[in-house]
Formats: sequence, C-alpha cells, structure tokens
Amino acid sequence: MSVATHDEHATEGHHESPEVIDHRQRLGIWLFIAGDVITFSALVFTYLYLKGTNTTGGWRSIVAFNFAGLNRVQANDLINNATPHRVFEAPVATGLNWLIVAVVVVSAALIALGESRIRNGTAKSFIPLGYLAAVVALVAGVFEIVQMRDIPQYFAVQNDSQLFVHTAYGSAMLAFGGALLAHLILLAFLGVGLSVRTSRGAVTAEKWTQVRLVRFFWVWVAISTVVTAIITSAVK
Amino acid sequence: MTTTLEHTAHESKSKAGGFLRHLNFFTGVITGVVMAVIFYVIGRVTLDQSGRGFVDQLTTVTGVGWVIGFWLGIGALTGVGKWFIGKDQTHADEMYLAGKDMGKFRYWKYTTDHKVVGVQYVIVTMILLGAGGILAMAIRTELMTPGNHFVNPQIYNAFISVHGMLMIIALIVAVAGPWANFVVPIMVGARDMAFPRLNALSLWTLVAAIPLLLGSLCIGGLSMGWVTQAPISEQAGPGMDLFALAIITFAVSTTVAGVNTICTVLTMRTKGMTLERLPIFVWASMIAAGLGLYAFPFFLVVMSLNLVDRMNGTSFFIAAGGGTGWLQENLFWLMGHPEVYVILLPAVGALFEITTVFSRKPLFSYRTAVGGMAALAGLSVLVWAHHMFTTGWAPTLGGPFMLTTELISIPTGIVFLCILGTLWRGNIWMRLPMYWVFGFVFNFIVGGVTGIYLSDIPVDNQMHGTMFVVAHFHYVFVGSVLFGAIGALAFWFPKMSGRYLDEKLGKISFWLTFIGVQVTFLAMFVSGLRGMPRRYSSYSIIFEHTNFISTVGAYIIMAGMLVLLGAIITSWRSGEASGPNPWHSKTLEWLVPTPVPLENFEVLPVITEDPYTYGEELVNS
Repeated sequence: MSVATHDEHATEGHHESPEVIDHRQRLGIWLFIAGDVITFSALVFTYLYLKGTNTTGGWRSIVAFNFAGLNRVQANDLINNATPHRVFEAPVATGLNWLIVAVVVVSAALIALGESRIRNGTAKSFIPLGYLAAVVALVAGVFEIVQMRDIPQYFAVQNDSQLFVHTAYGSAMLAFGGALLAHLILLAFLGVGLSVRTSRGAVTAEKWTQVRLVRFFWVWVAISTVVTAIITSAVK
Repeated sequence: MTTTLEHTAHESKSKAGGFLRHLNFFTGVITGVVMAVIFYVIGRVTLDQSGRGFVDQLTTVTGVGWVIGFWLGIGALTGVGKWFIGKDQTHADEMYLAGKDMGKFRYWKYTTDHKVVGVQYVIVTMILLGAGGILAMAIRTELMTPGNHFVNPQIYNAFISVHGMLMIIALIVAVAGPWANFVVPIMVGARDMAFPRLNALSLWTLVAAIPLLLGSLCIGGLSMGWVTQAPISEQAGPGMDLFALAIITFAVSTTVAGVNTICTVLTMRTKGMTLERLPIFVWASMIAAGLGLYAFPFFLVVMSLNLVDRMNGTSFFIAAGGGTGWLQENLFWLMGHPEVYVILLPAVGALFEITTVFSRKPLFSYRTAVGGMAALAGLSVLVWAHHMFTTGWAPTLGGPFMLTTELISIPTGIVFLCILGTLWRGNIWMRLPMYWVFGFVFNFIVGGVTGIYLSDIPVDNQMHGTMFVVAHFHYVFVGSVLFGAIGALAFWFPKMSGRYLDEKLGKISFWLTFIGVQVTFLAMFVSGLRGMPRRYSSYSIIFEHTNFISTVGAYIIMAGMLVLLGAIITSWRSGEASGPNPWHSKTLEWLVPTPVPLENFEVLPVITEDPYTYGEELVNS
C-alpha cells in the first residue's frame, strides 16, 4: 500500500471538523436504532407467532382460577372451593393503548419543536421543551404501567404445582409494555439531560447536533409505539 | 522554586481524568460485589417471598446489581453522568482516559485507546478459552470410559452448558475483539475507533458478564445445553437466571462493539482509502459486525423472555399458558446461525491477510472474496430452521431451508477458493502464522463438508443429536476459527508486543493442536455415526474405544494450548525483537512504529494504491 504523508489532508492535525464528528455520530445512532428495530421486530414476531400457534387454545384463555379483583381471602376461598375453569381474557383497552401512542407522539413532537428552535438560533427556548418532553414521556410511562397492571394474572394448578401465570397474549403485551417503559425512561433521561446541557451552555445554536440524534431515537420510539398499537389492535 | 505557571500546569495535569483517576478494575469488582449485596438485601426485603418466581427474581436482581456496580466502579457511567450535568470531558480528560503517560496500569482501567482495548481483549479471550477449556477437559475425562466417575449427570450437564457458552463467547471475541480493535483503526488510517468510550464499554461489559456465566455453575448450573432449550430452561434452577443475564449483558457488549466497528470503517478512513482499497480483514470485521448487529438482538430477546417466564409467570415458552417451545427455538436460531458467521468471518479475514503476505502475492480476486463474505452473511440469516429439522416445526419449510443451507456452501466455497487461489504458485514463506493457515484449510474442509451432509434432511434425521454433530461444529469452531484466531495472534503479535511469537514453541503448539483435533474429532465422528447421542454423561460399552481416543486427543489439544500459552508469556517478556514490519507487509498497521504511538499517526497518511501489490514490481520489471 503506497502512502504519501505530506498532503493538505495531513495538515488538518489531530482535531476533526464538527461535520466529520456529526456524520459519525449520525451513523452511530442510526446503527443503534437498527439494532433496536431488530429487537422490536423480535417482539412483533413473538406476538404474531403466539397468536398464530394458539397453543392449547391459550392465546387469550387459560385453564385457571381468575384472581382478578379478588383479595387474598377471596382468592384462597376460590382455590379451596372451586375447580379451575377456562378463563377468557379481554384484550387490553384499545383507548388506553392509543392514548399511550398519542402521548409518546406528543413528546416526540416537543423534542422536534425544540430542535427546530435551536436550529433557528433560540437555544434557550429548548430548555422548557426538553423538560416538557421528558415529563410527557414519563406520563406515557405511567399510562403504560397502568395498562400492564390491568393485564390479569391467573392462578393455575398444573402437575400439583401452583403457578401464577399470564396467557400468551398477556405475556406478549407485557413484553411490549416493558420494552416501551424502558425506552420511555431512557427518553426522559435524555430529554432532561439535553435541557440541563442547554442551560449550562453545552448545547447552543452552534452545537445542537446531539439534539438531532436524540430526536432520531425519540421519533423511532414513537413509530414503534404506533406500529405496536396497530398490530395489537388489529390482531387480538 | 515553583513558578505560578508551573504550579497551574501541575494542578491542571493532576485534575485530568477527575474522579476516574481513582477507578480501575479492582474498584469495579469491589463496587460490583457491594452493589450485588445491596440489591440482594433490597430484593429480600421487597420481593414477595412466597411467590413462585422469588428465587429467580432475587438471583436476577443480584446479578443486575453486580453489573451496575461494576460499571460504576470501573468508571463506565462517569461519562454519562458528566454528559447529563453538562460537564463534558476536557481534552486532558480524554488523553487521560486514553491512557497517556499511565504506564502498564492503563490495562487495568477503563482506557479508551483502541490498542489497549485490543490487548485487554486478548487477555479476556484467553481467560474465556481457559475456563471453557478446563470444562472441556472435565467433560472429556468423564467420557473417557463408560459410566459416571467424576461428576454426576446434573453437574455434567451444567459443565456442557457453560462450556458451550464460554467457548461461543470466546470465539465471537477471539478475532473481532483483539484485532478489530488493535489493527482495524490503523488499517483504515484512523487515530482511534469512532467512539473510544463505547469501545471501552464493550470490553468491560463483556468482563462483567463473565462472573455471571461462571456464577451460574455455582448455584446449580443449568442442564439444557447452551441453547437453553425451552421448556427445560423454564424448569432449571437459578443458574439459568445468571446464565440468561450474562447473555443479555454480552448482547449489549457486542452491539456496542459492532456499531463502533462499522462507524470506524465507514467514517474514519483516511484520504485515498476507498472501499476497494480496504484491507480484506477490515471488510471481514465490518461484515461480521453488521451481522452481529442483526443477530444479537434476538439473543437478547430470547433470554429476556426466558427470564420473565421464570420470574414473572409469563407464558412465552410454556404450552400450558399458550406459549410454545418452538418460539424459543425460532428466536434462538434466528440468532444462532448468523452467529456462526459472526465468529467465522473475522478469522477468515485474518487468514486472508496472512495468506497474501506470506505468499507474496496479491489477494486472489479481491472483489470475489468480499462478495463471498457478504453473501455468506446474507444467506446466513435464511437458514436458521435447519437446526429444527427434527423438531416437527413447519415440515413444509424443510425443503426451502435445506436449499438455503446448501446454497450457503457456494459462497463458503468461493471464499475458500480465494484463499487457495492466493496460495497457488505463491512464493510461500513458511513462518508460524502460515502453519495455522494450512491447518485451517484442512480442518475447514472437514467441518464444511460434514455441514453439507447435515443440511440434508434425511441425513439430519439420522444424525441430529448425535456426536457427529458435535464433531462437525468442533471442526468448524476449534479446527477453523480457533486456528484462525491463533494464526492472527502469531501474525499481529509482533505489532502488539514488538516481539515475535516464539516460532519453535509455536510450531510445537501447532502440531500438537492439529494432531489433537484430528484424533479427538475424527473419533467423535465415528462415535456419532455409530449412534452415540450427545449430552450424555455415560454411554454404552460399544462407544468405549472411540471415546477413549477422543479423550486422548483432547489431552493432546490441551498440551498444545499450554505450549502456546507458554510461548505467549515468554515471547511477550523476552522474545526476539521484531521491529515495526517483520513480515514486510504493505497494510498500514505495519507502516507505523512499534510500539504504536498513542494517536497512531503523526500525520494522517494518504493512500495511493491497493494494499496487496506483492510481487507486482517483479511482474512490471
């Protein structure tokens, strides 16, 4: 490999231009998002596969005691006095599902708005928008927790062992919910972090590219939420 | 007398790195253990002790505490914390993190210099191979004669599972870890990896996963093999929890490493380093990293689902709750087969480099070699169900999956022919790295051809679950990938250490290992052909002779590895000095001084021709 070492390229020294660093970071975040897309696809595959196979007719039903709404005494009575029966589980509330989507989309829009403000030269106006986007993401997280708590757990007796179990449907919904919750916590962290950095002058009208990277990720999370809602609304 | 200026400079220097100055591997371990204990106590107090998943929850919480604590203690989260409060690292901090003027202690720290990370990966790989090797010897010793001798079947199964996963992880990082870190940035003309802190993160996250994996043995192990077959994995003891957590941690590590490698190659090439001038090892590393980025999220998901099934009563893989073991198998093998090529491709890339340098010939059909590796990666995502031919899953898809599996032998053959084409009529310089190339060529034929047999459904129906399969993939992993990894070590050792890897000891190691592989695994093929099932600690008397031979072979391999270890240690300490370019190679890593300066190049090079122009002066004259 022939090399020449005295070229104008060589005189750039050890410091790279912001454009080069920005290009590298953009590729990096796209690759991380690509990895996240694969992870999300695996969860979608899981949901559709479990629905498709419907093993032992257990997609949304289960042979079990239904504990929903019972206190411990009532539950014990149920176990002692009743035989297990097939319980059919209602799908999660579509309204709440789409409310979560709406809230996540709003949070993504707030970050996008903040980014546009910074790019227009008013970096300080990002600060409240960043905080607000983080709070809205956390609100979506609270809704998600509510939804996950509403997914019932059943008490099954199998081979003399007593198990608390979810149906396949409930399991898949919990997986979606858990993954979204983890992402929302990360988004809130990033939103607050960007606001703090902006208030400390680390993010300015000239140095705003990190906001764009976070916005890419935020929008992807919003898209994944929409896709999840469509799939789980259409296939129950 | 100290002037004000000197005093200020001294103060500024002493502050470089800040809190990170106090953090290292040992503080990481201490903090990890403390956090594990804290998480354990919190778990005991807050979790429902009467619940079915209590033990699994407590084990997992403790493991998570270890990982977070280790990250905190080694300094992996310091940069994140500083980012959050808006206090970015200064240039002095970055230099400190890169290990500037830190001496040998930088190998024990969260150092960002890619060359330090490369050396750290070598050590971690050797530890992984050593631990996996000890388990292999325990397994082979147990199998030397029929009946149970040293370990009971439960412990034997645990050894099998952890041996498998340790070796898989070791081979995933064996070439891509040390050499994609140490030489790839220099090969493309960069001063470091694209994201140096993420580089250190990937290494130390892998380190954090190792105690989890080994710890799984201490709390009952797991009995279903490294594939964690459901629903057996649902019924396993708490060792399964740590095992799953180790894999999740490892998946994070490889994803971070993969992103870093791809970004480095695509965005940090020096002027004139077009894609067509990329050294072949760089292509191999990048393709493997991309394939890993596709494969390992499946690993993360399947282990996560397994974990929540055990902890939280979900039913992903439990038929009674509407789940299915086939889901686990599909998710696992969606990762599992591409992972074979994540392991294989960097080794092949390294052997390409060695072959062209020591044949003093241009790489045979460079574009075909790159295309072959890309085709291997592409096809590898379409073959996963051949691992499930005998499970009863989707029998109608058996034909298509048999076809895609057999198709993959075409790019494999192309890559193989490119190595042979480079050797053909070359002026071969038989130094130590070339021994491992020839060993690879022989073993890969055996491993590859038996793979074609197994891709055939009627044959697979007979052979599946037998020792024949074990022999096949050991020819691929030990005979091919490990040989490639050792060849890469022998090749780049002078650049890493400034000394040759001892030729005499290296050749003794080669012959012992090569003979050991043939003895062990050819005999194992015979055991398999005669019907011996895998994963059994005892067996019928009719398999006694071939198992005895396999065990003898395993001891020969062990001797070869111990000799190699001796060669590495003695060569590193007092080997023959090699100079900066002992092999007269033309790729960039050999054109920089040894030891390589902190930022690799005083001035960035400009590339004006291909990397493999060996012998062209002769032709032109």
